[in-house]
Amino acid sequence: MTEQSAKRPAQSEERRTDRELVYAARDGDMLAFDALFYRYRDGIYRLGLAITKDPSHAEEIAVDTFSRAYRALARLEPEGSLRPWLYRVAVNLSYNRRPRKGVILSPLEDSANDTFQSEERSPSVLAEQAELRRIVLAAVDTLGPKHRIVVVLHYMNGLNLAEIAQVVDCPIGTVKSRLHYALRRLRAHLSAHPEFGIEPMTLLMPSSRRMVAPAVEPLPGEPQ
Amino acid sequence: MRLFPVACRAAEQKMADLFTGELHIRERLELEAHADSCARCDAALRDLSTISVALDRAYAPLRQRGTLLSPARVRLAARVEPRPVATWWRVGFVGRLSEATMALGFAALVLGGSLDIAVKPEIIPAASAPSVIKDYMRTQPPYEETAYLRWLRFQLRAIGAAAVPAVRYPAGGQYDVEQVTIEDDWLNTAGPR
Repeated sequence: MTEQSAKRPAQSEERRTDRELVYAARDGDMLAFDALFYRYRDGIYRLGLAITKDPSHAEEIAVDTFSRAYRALARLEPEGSLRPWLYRVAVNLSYNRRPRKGVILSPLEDSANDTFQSEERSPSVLAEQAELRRIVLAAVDTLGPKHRIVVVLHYMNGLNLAEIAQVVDCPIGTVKSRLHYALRRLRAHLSAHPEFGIEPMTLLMPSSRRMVAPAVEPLPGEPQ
Repeated sequence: MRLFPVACRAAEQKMADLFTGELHIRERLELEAHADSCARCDAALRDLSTISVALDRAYAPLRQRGTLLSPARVRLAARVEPRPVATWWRVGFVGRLSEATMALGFAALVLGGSLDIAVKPEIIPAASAPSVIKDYMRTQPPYEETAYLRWLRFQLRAIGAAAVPAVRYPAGGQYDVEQVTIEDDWLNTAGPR
């Protein structure tokens, strides 16, 4: 909806790679920079919105991110996609603008958007879905910044492990372990809500009988 | 101390790959086979699948949101703004020193204005005062003809000239030199009028 109403660059610009667009923009081709902007504008806006939960902050983050890219055109050398570089800048800017503790901002759920997209559903179903979404996002907020950003980048921005590793500047194995840790924490957190049907965690229950063996030998005649 | 069998630990590590879609089909089959034989890993796999789907649905409305930002706003923000130059009086110790100096100067001005200190100016006699204008006018020839002749004679005498050349003046309206007449001046511009 928003892409249609916004001014879009020409088709030829959309077919060019990020590297070609960066080099063209470096030579003064502003249409190339506009094409880069329209290509990643919404993703960066959503990323800022997911972290800061404030649309105005998200817009400022998008503007700041692209203005930094504009200033850094002379030294940008994207090997493939420019997305990891832009997302890294956006993540850093977003965490600088995070709301302080105790400041309650409007939740991310967009009920009007939901109503618009699913008119056939009943209000009770929509309300139930909104409640589940609120619970899940609140559980994500309980994660630490390192684990939360991995979840946001994967489940909202759709980045794979390699791209997330580029954004957060760490090895892929670290991203994998962070994602797994985040999912386990979410499982522990959401198991308190019966709506999800998640069983309470029994991670520390040993599955081997050797672990429950007593340290002291049983007395003769005592049942084992 | 080992809490879980090796197979369960390996299965847990593969679960993250499963949800990111980066698990090979062979490993996925191994994971499912292990989950069939292990109730704990089966529950973990089922729960993590539920959470993964819930996260996907929770972020679905956000994935459809966008913004109407235009690149013109970026260009406006990226405009190179002049850096504020730190003036020298704002820099640390020098700033404090300049403030103290200015305060002392202002205090001295106030106190000095309140004191009646009579300072008599030194009177220079007008006769002995050097005057550049007078010297200049003295070296210039006067405009009046008689005074000019007297001035010229005086100057020649001052520089030690032997004799003053006689000055010939036009008398009776006649020039003391022969007049030149241009015959072929058909515009009649060169002749005396």
